[in-house]
Amino acid sequence: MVGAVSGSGSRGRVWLRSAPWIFILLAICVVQIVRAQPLDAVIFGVGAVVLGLDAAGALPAGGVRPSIPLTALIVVAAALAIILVVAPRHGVVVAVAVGAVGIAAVGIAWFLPPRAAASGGSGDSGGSGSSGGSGGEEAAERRTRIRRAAVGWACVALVMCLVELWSFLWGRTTGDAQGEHPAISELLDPALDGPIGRAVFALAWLALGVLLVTRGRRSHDA
Amino acid sequence: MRDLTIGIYLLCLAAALVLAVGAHRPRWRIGKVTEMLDAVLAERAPRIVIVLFWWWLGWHFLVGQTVDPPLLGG
Repeated sequence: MVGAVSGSGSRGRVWLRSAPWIFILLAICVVQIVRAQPLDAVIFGVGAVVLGLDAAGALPAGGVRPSIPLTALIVVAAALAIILVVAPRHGVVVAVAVGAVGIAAVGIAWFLPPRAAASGGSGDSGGSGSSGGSGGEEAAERRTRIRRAAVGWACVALVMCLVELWSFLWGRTTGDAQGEHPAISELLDPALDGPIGRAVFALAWLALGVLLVTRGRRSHDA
Repeated sequence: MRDLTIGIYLLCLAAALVLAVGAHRPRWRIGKVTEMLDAVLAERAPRIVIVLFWWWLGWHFLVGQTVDPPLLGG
C-alpha cells in the first residue's frame, strides 16, 4: 500500500492478491452464520469488508509499525496466560482479556512490519534485489523452498478445514452423529475445562500470536 | 467413523510435524515456518486474515460457545 500502487494495473494486482483472503473470511463468516454465532459472523464479515475496501484503496494506507521488543511481548503474554488459566473459562475476565488481545493484535497487523535486518535475506518474493550470479540463485532457491513450505502447510490446513467442516455439518444433525463425526472443538473441549489443558492451550495460543505479530518482512504490501 | 475422523486429524498433525522437522533438512528443500511466515505476512490481507483467525481460535475455545448442540435430538 505504500507509495508503489499506481494506476489501475497495480490496483488490479492488489485485488487479485487480496481476493482469496477475502473469500476465506467470507467462507468463515458463512460457517459462523450456520453455527448461529452472530458475533463471530459479524467479526469475519466486517474483516472481509475492511479488506475489500483496503484492496480498493478506500482506506488510509497506514505506516510502518514501530518494532516491539520481543521481551515486552513475552512478559505481556505470560501475564495473559496466567489470567486465562486462573480466571473461569467463558467468564467476563477471560472475555475482556481475549478481546483486548484481539484488538491489539489486529491493530498491530494492520501496519506494515518493520524491514528485515540487512543481512540474511530481505526481499522474499518478487522484490527488486535480484543481483544476479550466486546471489540470484540463492534468492531463487529460497523462493522455491518457501513456495514448497507454503504449499505443504496449505495442504495440511485445507485437509484439516475440510474434515472439520464435514464433521461439523454431519455432527450437527443428531447427538449420535456428533459422536461419530467429532469436530476438533468437541475433542478439545473437555481438556480445556481443566487447568492443565487450559494452560497448554493458552501458552500455545499466545506463543503463536507472538510469532504472528513479530514475523512478516516488508517487501511489498497490499 | 469416529476413529477415522480422529485418525485424519492426527495425520494432519503428523504432516505438520514432518513439515516442521523437514525444514531443517537441506535435502528436503522445504522452507522454515518463520521464512514462510515472513513471506506470507508481508502483505496486509494474509496478515489480517491469519491474525484474525488465530485470535478467533482463542475466543472460540476460551470465551465463546465451543461445542454446538445438535439441531435434532438423539
